[in-house]
Amino acid sequence: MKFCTVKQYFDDENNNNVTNGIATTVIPLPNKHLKIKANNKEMEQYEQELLRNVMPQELTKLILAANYLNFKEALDFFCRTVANAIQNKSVDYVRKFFGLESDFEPGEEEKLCKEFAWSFEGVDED
Amino acid sequence: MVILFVSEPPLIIYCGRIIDGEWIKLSYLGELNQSLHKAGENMLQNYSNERILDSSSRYITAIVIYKLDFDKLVWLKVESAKDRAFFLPFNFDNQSYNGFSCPASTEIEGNCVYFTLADGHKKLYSYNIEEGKLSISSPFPNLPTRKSSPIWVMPEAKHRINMEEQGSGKVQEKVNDLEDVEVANETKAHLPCLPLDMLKLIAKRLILVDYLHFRATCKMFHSVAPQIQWRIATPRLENPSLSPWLVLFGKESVYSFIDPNHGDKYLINLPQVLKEGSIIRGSKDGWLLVTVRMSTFFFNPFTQALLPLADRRAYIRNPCMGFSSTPDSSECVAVEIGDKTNNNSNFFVNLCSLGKEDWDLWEFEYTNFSFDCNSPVFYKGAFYYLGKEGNLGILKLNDEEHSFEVLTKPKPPCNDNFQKFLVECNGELLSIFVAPFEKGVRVFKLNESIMTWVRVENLGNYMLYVSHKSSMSAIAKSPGMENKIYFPRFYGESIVFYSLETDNYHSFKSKDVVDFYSTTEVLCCGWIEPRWC
Repeated sequence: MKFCTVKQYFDDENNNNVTNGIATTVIPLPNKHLKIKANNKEMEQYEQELLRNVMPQELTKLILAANYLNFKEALDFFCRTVANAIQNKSVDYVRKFFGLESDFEPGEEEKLCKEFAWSFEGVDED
Repeated sequence: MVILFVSEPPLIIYCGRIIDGEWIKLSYLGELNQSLHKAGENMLQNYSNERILDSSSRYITAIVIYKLDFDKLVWLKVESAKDRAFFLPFNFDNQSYNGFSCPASTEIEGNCVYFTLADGHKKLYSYNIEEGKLSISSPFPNLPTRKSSPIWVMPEAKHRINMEEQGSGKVQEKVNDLEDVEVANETKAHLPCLPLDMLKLIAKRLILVDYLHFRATCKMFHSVAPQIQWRIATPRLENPSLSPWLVLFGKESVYSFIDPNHGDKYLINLPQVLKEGSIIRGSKDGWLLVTVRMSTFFFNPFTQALLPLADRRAYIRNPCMGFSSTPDSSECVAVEIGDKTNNNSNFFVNLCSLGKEDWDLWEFEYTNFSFDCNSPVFYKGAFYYLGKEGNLGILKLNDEEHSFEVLTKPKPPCNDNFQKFLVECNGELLSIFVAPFEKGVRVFKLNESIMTWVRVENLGNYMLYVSHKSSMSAIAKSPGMENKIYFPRFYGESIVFYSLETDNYHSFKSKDVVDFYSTTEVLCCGWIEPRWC
C-alpha cells in the first residue's frame, strides 16, 4: 500500500509539513501511476504538464511533501527535476536556486576551484 | 633599434642602435622567420613568427609567435597580441620574407596574423593567435594570377610608437555582476532548505561538472557531495556522449575539450611535467601521445595517468607520430617517422615501447613516398601511411628487420590538391579526401582483394572524426549523428561536419548548409575518445 502516510496525514489535523496546495499536486500522482504503469513516455508527459505550472523553487516543497508521504516515485521524479533544472548552470545559479549564500572563506573557495581537475566553459546563461 | 638576420635558417641575428651605429651580435636556437620592425629611439618588442609548413605542403599545421625579450635575450611565446596585427607574404616556395606588424586599429583587427599562400594568393588567411583558429576569406576575387608573389605594404610612411601601448594588451578583469545577484536574493523569500538526505538524492543524479558546481555551492552541500570519480548518467537523464571529443592543446598549461554533439567545452589542468609546451602527436582509446620538446609521454587526460617513454635523441623534422594500441597492452609501440634534414635522401623511423631505455632509430633509403603530416593508422598489425600523392605506405615491424613498403596499388583516387586522411572503420581501411575550401569530401574504402579504392556513399551508422593528429571512427550513439564526418572546424561555437547524405557542410546549431568561408579551423588539436577507466 503506497500511501500509509496519507491516512496518517488526514488523521493528523495539525500538520505543518504538507500544505494544501502541495497535497493537491502530489496525491493524484499514484493513481495516474497505476493507470499508466507500463507506459513511461505517457507518464513523463503527464509529469511535464504537472510541473509546467510549478515554480522551480517550489520543487523543494514538493520534495519535502513527497518524502513525508513516503511516496518514492514522486520523490524520485522531483529530485530528477531539480537535477535537470540546475544542469549546466553556474555555481551562483545553484546558490540562487536553493536560496543559499556561500559560507566558504575566500581562500577555501579558490582552493576548491583549483581542486577541480575539470572546470566548465559554456555554461548556460542564468 | 634595428634587427637584421643574416642567414637562412636564421641562426644569428644582429641588432643595432641607430644612434651608436654599432651592431651587437645575438644568437638563438631554432628556425624562426623574422619580421623586421623599425623603431625610433624607443626600443620596442620584436615579433617573430614560426610557421610549421613543409615547403611543398599546401596547408598550415601550426603557427607559433615568439617575442624577443631584449633584457633577457630569450624568445617568449606570445599567446595573445590584442594590440597588434601581423602581415606575412609567402612566395611561391612558401617562404616568408619582409613581413611586418602594425598596431591594431579600427580598420585592422588585432590578435591576428594575415597571410596568403602560394595557391594563387586569392584567399586571405587570418589566424587568431589567442584562439588558435584559422579562417579563410575571399576578399580579392578579381586578383589576376601572377607568377610573382605579392608583398604587403602599409600606406603610412612611419610606424608611430606609443609609450602607452607597451602597457596595453594585458588581461582584462571580468566585471562581477555582484549587484544583480544581491537584488535577486532580496526579492525572493528564502525557501525552507531541504534536509541532507534529500540533497543527497539530488546530488546522486548530477553528472560531470554539475556535480562539482553542487559541491561548490556552500559547506553543507560540500559535505553532502563527496569527491567521486566521474559518474556516467543513468539512461533516463540526457547521456553525456562518449563519442569522440576534440582536444585543443594550443595553450600551455591546459587542454580544452569540446563535445561536438552538445558544444560543451571542458578544461583540464595538466600535470606539471606537461605544462611547458606540450604537443599532442596521436590519440587512441582515450590515450594521447604527447611530446614536450624531446620527452615523450602517454597521457590519459581523463584518468590523469601519465606514462613516460624514453627521451628521443634524434631530431626529426616535421615528424608524424603514432602508436599501435593502448599503453596498457605490452605490445604498444610508438613510432615516429620523418626526414632528418632538408635533403630528401633518406627517411628515418624511430620506435619505442614502454619500459625501453631508448628509441630505436632505423634509416630507410629514399623511396618515392612523401609523408603527409598525418598520424598513421595501425591496421592489421602494421602502420599505414597515406602519402602526399595519395599512395599507401606500410611500415611493418618484423622481429629482425623492419620494412617499409610503398604500394603501387591502390592508385590514388584524387589528385594531390586534396587533404587526405586515413582511418580504420569497422575493420576496413577508409581514406578521406577533402577538396580545397568548400568543394566537398569524398570517402573511399580499400577493397583488399583487388587493391583499389572504392567510393563510399553512405557510412551507415558510423561517424568519422578526422584531424592531422588523430582520426577515428565511432558508432553513432544518438540519432542525427551518423553518416557524417566531423572536422576540427567551427561555425561560431559549434563544430562543423560534412554530411554524406546532403554532400555539404553543416553544423548542429543551424539546419542550413554552412558557408565555408565563415568557418574557422583550429590548428593545434586532435580527436580523442573519452575513457574514464
